[in-house]
Amino acid sequence: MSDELPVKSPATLPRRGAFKIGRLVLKELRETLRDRRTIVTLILMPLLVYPALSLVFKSFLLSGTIPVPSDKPIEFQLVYAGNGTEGQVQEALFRFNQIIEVIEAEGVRNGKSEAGTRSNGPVDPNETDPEKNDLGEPEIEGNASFEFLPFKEHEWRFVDDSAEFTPAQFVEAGAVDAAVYFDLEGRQPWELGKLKIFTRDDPVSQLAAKYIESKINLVNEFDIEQRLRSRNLPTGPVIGLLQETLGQPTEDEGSGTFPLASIVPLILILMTITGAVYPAIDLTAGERERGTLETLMAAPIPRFGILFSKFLAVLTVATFTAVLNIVGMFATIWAFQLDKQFGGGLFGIDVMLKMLLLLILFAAFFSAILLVVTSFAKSFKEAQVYLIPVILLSLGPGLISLAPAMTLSGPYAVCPMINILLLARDVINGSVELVPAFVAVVSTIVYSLAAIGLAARIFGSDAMLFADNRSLLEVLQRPRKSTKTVPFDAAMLCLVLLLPMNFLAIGFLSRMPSDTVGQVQLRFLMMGFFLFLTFLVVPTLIARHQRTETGSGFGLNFPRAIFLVAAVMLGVSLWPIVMSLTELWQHVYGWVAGAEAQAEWKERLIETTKPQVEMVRRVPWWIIAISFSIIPALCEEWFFRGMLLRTLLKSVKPWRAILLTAVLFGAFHMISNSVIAIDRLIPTTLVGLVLGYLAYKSDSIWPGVILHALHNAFVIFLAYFQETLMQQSWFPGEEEPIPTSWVAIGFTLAIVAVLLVFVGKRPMVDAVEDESEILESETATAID
Amino acid sequence: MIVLSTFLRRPLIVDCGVVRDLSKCKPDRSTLLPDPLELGFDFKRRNGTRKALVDKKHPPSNRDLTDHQFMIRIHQLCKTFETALRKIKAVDHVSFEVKPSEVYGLLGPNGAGKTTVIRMILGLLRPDSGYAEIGGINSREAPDDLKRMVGFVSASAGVYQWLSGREMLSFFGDIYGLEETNITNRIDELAGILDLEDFIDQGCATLSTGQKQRLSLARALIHDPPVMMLDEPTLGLDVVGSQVIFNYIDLLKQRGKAIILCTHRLEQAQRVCSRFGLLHQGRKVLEGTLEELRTQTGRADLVEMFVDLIGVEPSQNKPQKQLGMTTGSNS
Repeated sequence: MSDELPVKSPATLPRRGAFKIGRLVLKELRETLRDRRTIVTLILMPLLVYPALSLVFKSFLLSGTIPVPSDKPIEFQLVYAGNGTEGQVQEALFRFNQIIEVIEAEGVRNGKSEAGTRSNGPVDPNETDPEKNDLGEPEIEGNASFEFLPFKEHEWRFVDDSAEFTPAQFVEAGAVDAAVYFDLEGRQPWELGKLKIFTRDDPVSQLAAKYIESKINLVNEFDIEQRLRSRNLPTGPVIGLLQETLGQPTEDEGSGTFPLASIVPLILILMTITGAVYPAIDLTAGERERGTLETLMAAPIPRFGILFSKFLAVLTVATFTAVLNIVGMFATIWAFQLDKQFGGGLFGIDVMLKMLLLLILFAAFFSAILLVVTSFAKSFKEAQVYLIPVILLSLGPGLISLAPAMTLSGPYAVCPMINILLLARDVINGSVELVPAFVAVVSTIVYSLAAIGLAARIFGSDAMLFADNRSLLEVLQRPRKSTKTVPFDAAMLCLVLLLPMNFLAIGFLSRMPSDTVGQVQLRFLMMGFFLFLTFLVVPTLIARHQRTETGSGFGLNFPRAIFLVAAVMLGVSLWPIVMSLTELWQHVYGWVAGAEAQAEWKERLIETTKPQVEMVRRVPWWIIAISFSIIPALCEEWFFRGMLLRTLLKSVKPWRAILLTAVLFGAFHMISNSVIAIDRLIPTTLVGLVLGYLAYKSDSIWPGVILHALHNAFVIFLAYFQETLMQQSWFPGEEEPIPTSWVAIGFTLAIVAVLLVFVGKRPMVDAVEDESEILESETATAID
Repeated sequence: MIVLSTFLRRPLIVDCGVVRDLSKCKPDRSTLLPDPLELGFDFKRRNGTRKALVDKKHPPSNRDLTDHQFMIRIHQLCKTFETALRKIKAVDHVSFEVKPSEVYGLLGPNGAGKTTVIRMILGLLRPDSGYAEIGGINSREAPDDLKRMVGFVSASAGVYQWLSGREMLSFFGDIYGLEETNITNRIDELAGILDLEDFIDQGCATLSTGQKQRLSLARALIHDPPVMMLDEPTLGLDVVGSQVIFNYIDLLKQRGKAIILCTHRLEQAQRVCSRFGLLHQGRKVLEGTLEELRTQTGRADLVEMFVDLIGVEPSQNKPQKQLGMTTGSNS
């Protein structure tokens, strides 16, 4: 143990904190890993499950693609045709059939291997049997009855030239499983003719083709062998073989049965879950049951530290499980050659690593969720009961993601679990799209953080430690007394609610028709309405429910004049900076991805936004003003700088609160367009920083609303009036960069404004109140 | 009732028939058990630098350091539990003080609020109002620093199934910020005093109740805190086992620790405690030394006082004013 302790150094408090967390994690891991039950889920499961699964795969799921033995009574519907009369074609096929019969009879009599060994030896009297050594003229015993069934087990029909459909069309329409076309013209002396097989992209058809093919190969091999052995005849197959697959082949050639790319991630994720479940229960509910949690809580470590170390321990175990499972699964796939059976090459190391990263991300998400649930439980059994529905629920998205039609886009990109599963499928298929992948990863991280925050709240609460009357819904309970700001967990709940709501709204909007000006107007107004609903109504309702005073909870007090002045200045000066930042981003993208990709991207951007811009210009200006400037400004400020920032300011340092709000603001804007735009992240976050600082100093959202409205108005109306403005010689065109002088002016003005904000005094009344409130809540609340 | 006066003067540990004389166990332990006051105010951090424990914003004044009579000060603690049906005032304006070298017996029937008081002092529960102060450190201002000064043993406290005793002690030593070498010495020393040597390297799951409880005591003492809080430390132990614990409490008292003890073993409490506070339905109804309680209640020993207490509903008046209430209140 001693070697795990860090070397002594003049450490400061934060490092001590990190050390303690590390020490805690170590203890949790040591405890967990010594537990037999962990070892079972961690090591035995991957060792045993995958070989077992792969056997099931081989014998059951894949039975459709494995060639069926000839005695198996699968009857193919076949048609045949050829350039000749039915009789000629039948004769050819009949000979073909006869040879097969001879070969099979021979195989029974002599055994196959013998034929090979005798190839160069003296001529065996049996081998020179006249019946079969000359394939050019096999003896046909006047078979006029035409009880003719080549490859007897199957049903054959002849298609005449005069028939309504060609053999190919029969196959394509699905009327038969395969078609054979005999080309009898121009055959070499040793040939029976050339055979062309028509198939479709479906397993039965492929099997039929394989069946015919195997017979032909049999004949060819036999013949070559015969000729090589007996005489010095020219080599070459008896029947030349051509094959044509009709119809559109599906994505993964030849599989057609089961999407391995979908099922691999699902199995891996489910196995990772099993690894995480046990430690999650044991380290929370289990410790509580055994009474060690109380002791740990009495030690000088913050509760969040305890929870976080438990989270890290669960995550570590889950990661171990993921690694072992990935190795186990890929080894199984490799050993059983499942990848070949499914089509698609052997998975590469890079795919494995990407899968591992995804699994770790997912493990983080699921560990946090597990801790939320198990933190409620006071005993191991109780936790298990709670977890059953969670695991069942997580199966749902897993099964949904198996559907081949699912793509990682739109709402699916933010749907927890589904997004990771789809992303993993895309990784295996090698068809990852950058933006949805990014959204999936970021949203999963956001959900994980929210879950850890929630778990910490539950874990640390008095009621969870000792009382026994706490229910899941009590986190949502109304406080008895009115509050100044929205409680932290309620604000986080609101944030988590807004993310999917925002997505649904975007999805709805993008489905609205926008072909006429009227429709576009309606769409814009609906956009404003949704913004109002999500960012204003929902937070307000939550604040109401939490008995938060609206004025203080959202910062509706009237600010000092200096902040209003600064807000106006910033409102008119930020847009050139933002625009130049967007251009800068494009250059950065160009460096990273190459000039070609940059140009293509820009072109696509212009292409996609152009019709929108065109439409925008035809909508009356007041609708633009309402739905792009006034409503977004009010509603977004209402939530971000009103509820979120003011709540965060209560629990974290101001600059952290401002930064966090700004990043969330930026993240929301990335997806609040119909196109997901990564390039908006940095500029919007910067604007968010300015807005946050302004709201913090002025203790009011109104300056921010003014800034936001002005800024949005500038951006949108510059586009709106662009053509008029471009006629003025000083306004840049679409392709031209924004003039440096504008950026310089904007920058100067913005600096002056930020200085004004800096100089402006934060209202102290509220600050004093803050402290007294904290004391109050601890001392005086329950005295009454 | 037997008062083992010899035990008091010469601390002995009785375990499984073996009587050990503590003073002969390991003679030079004075450096490891320093003066609690010094410990409390100038705690040695694991990185070796000496740093004031208390929050810089609220440093205890110099007068506090020297003239501080009380190691533990509990000031008007209140806690209400809410259930779906009703509110329960678990602790109702409880205040008391404990000096170094004093064992304060926090007694009362089940549900009187003893455990809640201790949990609030430790910050495991958040008091609705009031605060605790240990060595001048306020529970509201620096809860972690306060926790560092307390050793906590409770009946419900468990041990880590899959760790050995030594690993568990070393873990807690780390958590409490002790230095590595210090931890090793300290474990050896505690193993000697509490007679853990036979099983300290064994997995905790295999230990008996008495062994677990001694290990818990060692765990609480690993950082040599000036204050001990013992919540039913002898629950589930047989007579010999609990005797061992009480003897050790006595030793701790002699070493100058301020101790709060909650127990239902009234005879031993009567022997070991310097003063008593009797809680009933969340209120402190009686307080004082055994002699003071006797004069107040007219009863000879704690058991009788208890019976009186439980049999009578406390009136709605301030508890301090009804100290004499138990006289003749057998009805």
